[in-house]
Amino acid sequence: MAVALTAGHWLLAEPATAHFSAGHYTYSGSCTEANRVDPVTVVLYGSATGARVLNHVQHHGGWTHQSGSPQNFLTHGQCYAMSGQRANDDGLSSRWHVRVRTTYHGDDTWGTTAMGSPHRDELVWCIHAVPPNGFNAGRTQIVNMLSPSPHHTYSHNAYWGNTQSMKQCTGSTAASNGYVAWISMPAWDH
Amino acid sequence: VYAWLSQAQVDDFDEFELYWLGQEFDGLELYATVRQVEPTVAGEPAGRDSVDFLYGDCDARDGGCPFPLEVQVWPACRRYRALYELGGEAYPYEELRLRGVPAALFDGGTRLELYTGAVTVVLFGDGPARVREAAQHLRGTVGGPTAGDPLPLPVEGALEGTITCGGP
Repeated sequence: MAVALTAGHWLLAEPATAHFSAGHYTYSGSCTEANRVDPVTVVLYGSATGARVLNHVQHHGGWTHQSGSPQNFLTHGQCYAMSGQRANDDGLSSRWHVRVRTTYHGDDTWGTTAMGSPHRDELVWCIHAVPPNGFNAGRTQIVNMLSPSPHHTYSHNAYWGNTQSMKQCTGSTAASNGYVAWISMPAWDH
Repeated sequence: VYAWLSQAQVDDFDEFELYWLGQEFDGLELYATVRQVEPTVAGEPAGRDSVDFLYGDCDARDGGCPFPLEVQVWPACRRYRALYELGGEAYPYEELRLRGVPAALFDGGTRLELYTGAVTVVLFGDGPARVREAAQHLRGTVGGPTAGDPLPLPVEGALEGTITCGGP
């Protein structure tokens, strides 16, 4: 079943009256403040199941590697394991890396939504550290990867203000500038 | 720009008003003071421009981790309440008044913003109680209000984003 939206998008229908609900960070364990790891900086909408987002990231960016620690996402007030992760190189290289999670339910306007925490991993003496601007750079990578494709539409950058500094294993810090890119996801896989 | 500031650089900083909690607060020592300035890019009305005071420490051996308490100070032209948006709708926050100025509570009380003078002071913490307590103890780095004193009222347009600022 599909529904037409005023924005002109055709979306697979989700249960009615649902509302977008996404936490602003990933978590290393339970979704408590002390376990925050990376900021969420992208939202995929339309038909964005976690598996589909990973499929498109792999196809458009060549991000085929799946190594990396598991992390959790907060959605609808509940803590859930990530849907998966992709990177453009292995865990012992500097690389681009994203973890993804479908939100708990769809949204009446945005359809099926997913959130992601893309970032740059720099190979350092303690394995990986995100450079100071690595979260913003990760978001830009995803936008530049998907938006040129005719079946993805970059909507806008929304301000969530999730600018909290994250200490890295080197002792340095990294932080997002607080913006979240919204990008559409079609209803099919590659 | 990403730079760790020395105390002398903090004392000499004159680009906008700074507020902090001193060298130690609630048993948490000042870990670092970080200056971050990023250009405004297409699709984003305001780039980052902040001075971040990081308090306490955390174990980052298995990935990034947040500091128990952080105070960020931004020019109000770069960070203001009207900037927020969530899925095309108003971003949820609790409006309140602290130290005599408008404030907004986000993310279950773990993020608090105070709008004072020409700056936005943002507190991140590991719990609502610590964040609220820290807000009461904010003070100017050089002169300015002391802990508990009323803060200067926000300048006109500070919450609405109608202030123009130069820079990158």
